[in-house]
Amino acid sequence: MEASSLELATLIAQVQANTAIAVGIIFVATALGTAIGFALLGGKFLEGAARQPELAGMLQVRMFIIAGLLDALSIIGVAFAALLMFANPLLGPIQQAMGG
Amino acid sequence: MNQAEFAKTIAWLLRTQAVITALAGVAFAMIGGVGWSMAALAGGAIGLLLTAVVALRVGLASSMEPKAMVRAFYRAMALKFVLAVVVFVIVAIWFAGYFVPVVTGYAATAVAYWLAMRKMALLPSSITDND
Repeated sequence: MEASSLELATLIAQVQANTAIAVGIIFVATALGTAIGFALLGGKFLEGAARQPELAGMLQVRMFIIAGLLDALSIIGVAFAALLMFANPLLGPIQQAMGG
Repeated sequence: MNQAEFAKTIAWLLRTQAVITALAGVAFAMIGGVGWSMAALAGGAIGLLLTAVVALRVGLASSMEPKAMVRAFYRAMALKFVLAVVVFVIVAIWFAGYFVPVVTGYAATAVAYWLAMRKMALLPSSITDND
């Protein structure tokens, strides 16, 4: 029942190809989500500051905090994408099979 | 006044993140030992570093006009993303075996933002005072 080296190479190529697609989707989704969120945030901040300029400082603090929440998930996504790109754990079982 | 309020909020945020990081370190020490604990502390330290860098960049623009504030804010956020990518690539290459505690430690620091938002919502707002 041992897989041939060609089958293993094909399997590794499939995992790597799917990983590349997944990493691309992660980057697109995080970039899109964060861009929309920051655009809305900046626009609302400018609207608020234009209406009541004396509140600009207070609004800036709130904008900073909401931005921290907004991009936390994106950065976690980027972290997982980095893991998939540079130390793909999905290849582990195949490498074990090759070694064994 | 604005800078003082901003600095106070950032100081509270960084302090809370440090406490949460320490708690994550203790929790992971009990779960997986010293290696996991150090990894969780490293993840929390990444969160602290990114918050501090962005706060410094945004804080320097807090006395400017709104347009300059937004410009500084976007630049700071771009810097944060670049820094996050660089740091997490390093983590993925060198600490691949400890990736889960690193990411959990980082995610735990995001809780501080949520707590800060709740804290600010509970405080009496100057908008309400003006009305």
